[in-house]
Amino acid sequence: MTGDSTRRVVTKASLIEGQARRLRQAATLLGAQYETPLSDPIDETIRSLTFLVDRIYSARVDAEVWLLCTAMGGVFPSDRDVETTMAFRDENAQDTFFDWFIAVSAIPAVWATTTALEMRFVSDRPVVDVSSCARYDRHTGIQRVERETLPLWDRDHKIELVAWTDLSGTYRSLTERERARVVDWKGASTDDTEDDASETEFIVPWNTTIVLPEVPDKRQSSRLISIARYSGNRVTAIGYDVIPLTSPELLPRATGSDFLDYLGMMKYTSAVAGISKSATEEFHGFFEAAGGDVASRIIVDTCELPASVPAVELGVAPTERDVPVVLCVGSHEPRKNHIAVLHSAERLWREGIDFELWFFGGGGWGTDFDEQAEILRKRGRKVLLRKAVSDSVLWSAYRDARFTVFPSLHEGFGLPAAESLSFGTPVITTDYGSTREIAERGGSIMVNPRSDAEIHDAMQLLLTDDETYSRLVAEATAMIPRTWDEYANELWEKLVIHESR
Amino acid sequence: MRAARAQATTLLRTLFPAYRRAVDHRLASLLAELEQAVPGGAPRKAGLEQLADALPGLAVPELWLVLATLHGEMPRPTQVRRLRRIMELDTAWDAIVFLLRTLPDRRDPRARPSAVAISAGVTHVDVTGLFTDDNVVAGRDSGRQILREWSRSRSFVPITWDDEGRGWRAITVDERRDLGLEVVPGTNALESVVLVPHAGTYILLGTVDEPRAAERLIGFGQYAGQASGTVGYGIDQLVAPEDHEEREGTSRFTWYLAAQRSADVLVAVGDGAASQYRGWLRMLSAVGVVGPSIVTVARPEEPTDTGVITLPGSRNSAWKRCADDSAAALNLQ
Repeated sequence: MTGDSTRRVVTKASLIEGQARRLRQAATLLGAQYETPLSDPIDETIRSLTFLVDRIYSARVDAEVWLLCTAMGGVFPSDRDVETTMAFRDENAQDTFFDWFIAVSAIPAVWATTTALEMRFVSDRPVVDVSSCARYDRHTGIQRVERETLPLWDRDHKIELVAWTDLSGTYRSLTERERARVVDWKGASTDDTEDDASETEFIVPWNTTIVLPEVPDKRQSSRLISIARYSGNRVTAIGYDVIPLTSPELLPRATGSDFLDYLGMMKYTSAVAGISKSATEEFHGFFEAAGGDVASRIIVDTCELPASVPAVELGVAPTERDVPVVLCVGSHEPRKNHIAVLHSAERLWREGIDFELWFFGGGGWGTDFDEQAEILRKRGRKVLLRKAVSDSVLWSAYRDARFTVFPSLHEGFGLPAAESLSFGTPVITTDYGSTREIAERGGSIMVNPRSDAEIHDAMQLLLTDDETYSRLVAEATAMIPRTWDEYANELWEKLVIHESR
Repeated sequence: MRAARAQATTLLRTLFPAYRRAVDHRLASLLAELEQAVPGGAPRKAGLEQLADALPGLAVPELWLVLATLHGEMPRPTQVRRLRRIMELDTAWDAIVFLLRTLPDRRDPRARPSAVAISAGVTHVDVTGLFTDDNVVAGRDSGRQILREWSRSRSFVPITWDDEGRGWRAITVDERRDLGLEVVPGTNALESVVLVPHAGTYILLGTVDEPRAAERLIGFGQYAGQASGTVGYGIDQLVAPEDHEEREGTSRFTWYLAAQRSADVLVAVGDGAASQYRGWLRMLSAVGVVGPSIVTVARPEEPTDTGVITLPGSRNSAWKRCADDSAAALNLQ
């Protein structure tokens, strides 16, 4: 028998004891005054449950129903669980409810392996859900935002970083290693052993703000809907984009369902901070389409991502090259439009313009990019592919390139465009959406990414017209990039302070 | 160029006989159509030679037609872009090599390549998803009512996607009966004939949410250069997924919506649907797409028919008005 399956085998005694402790905690939180625990956990359960059921019949506060379900079940209830409980309460006498509730509520904690856990209430600080960032070494867009922002929040404020338990039943505190992944990121580790998470308690946000800096999965979304609607906590979120909804053809086909559940949950948040004006507009559109009072109830505002020059030594000095370097950053997937860049580059090479084309970015799917890049290399074209590069290598490339080309078809922000400009390196980028917002500040040429001709012409201009090139370099160099400190402060204001007023 | 030409000839020669015959027929249909489509026409030469002459003068919609006809299925957007890029950088013979190399299932001796019919200059109404045994329920009954009303006085060809989601075909007699459309004896459409719309109008009245078909429909909207419209019944599946079971195609619904992006006009049935589509248009700004202009028609309050409709069907004045208003917005005569 494996360790996991052993953990799921629970004794009746542990179930009853865990439940009794949680119900006592919940009752105490709502004002029950007990001197000492009763020695028999069944007596304790009946005493606390009686108090709590009295409360939900007399006070009729949704949050208290949610708390009762959480304490009894040992997991956060789904919205349907809470609604069923409230409906049964509304239609039945208290005694009938009491019996029914005991009968239907014993199982969840067994399923979620949280049978014996106690609850730890968090009310004096925002709870920040960092499940994915804490568990995994993946370090692309969303994780970068978290690993830049949350160390600053952790430095300046009291926050509670949490992850979902293995089966997404409740929140738990982070292990030391998980915490380091979020607030002290030093790159992916080769050591894949993990510490055990807490086996004694789970975290229950109570009358506070829950901040979602990442996209929860399907199971988490259903519990978050319940938290947002019924628990009395406020749920706020960073809004990255709605790409799976509007551009399914630009993503792997299995992506859709989880994301729709996430968007369904977002309708119950109280504030969303879009990472660009474009992302904000996408969420405005979604909430408008959702109808009812959704659009008027949620504060949707832009808190634009920064792209400041990193405060690290880049090590190697800029290299003098015989030919200019054109840099293209991102994974090789349809959305990034790298085939169009290859095609435009090949036209330029055939026209006699000499340059190197560097693609920095890991992985990819759904394009014949590798095949086409290989064809060009066999023709002697200077195409360099680097799949996995460290931040310092990437930043050195931004510094050394003549310009960056980033004609993405759909972005929430467009970090490569912003980062390139922060190094004083001009960029060719998409003429709509978030990249347009970045490009309009200068140092950029905007193109229709669906027009190979426009991409070609812009690349040709920056490779051959030194006057235009110098002007764009000057514009980019003169920019004062927004810093992560500024972003973190504004995000705190929009998602935490504003919401708790 | 000579090498590509030799390669193309070899590729054609090495096709299995049945496939070779199918390609010959497709090529003949294509060249006949291109003669009318390209001013002056290409001079009469043997198959591939004539295509090689014609290709450099073709605009993107005709390149889409070339791919659709020769392949016997609607091309994916990436295929159209690839062909266009080859034409830009290389020779027509390189393009022909690409076309022949990417013939679907060309190395499968069991492949039974479909006959292809180019359907030019007419209005095609896509009724996919409107049949009684379709799982897709979004707006199905409304779509059936509108279709039945349109069929009484307007001229169009009802079409649907094949089972594999690769191409369109005319609907069969049984399907016409299922939809409550008039059946003319002796006119049963063959399911095996792939229908390629050209230089006409396309109206999506049903729901195309299978990713394979929807992706090709996105390519059609981007590159086929035809006037297009669609009827929309709302996007509840996306904005209220919690109210819908997965079997209703909730997650696939995004594909249907993406396929509607490039329509010129979207007729929204009811104010609620129109409001949802307006929100969707706001979301599209991040994709760099304006999206269709939205025209609202009143949704009849009377319940729609469910189950099999039999001719002549009920004449409901509210549905007639809804169908008439939709047709006017879509310029369906």
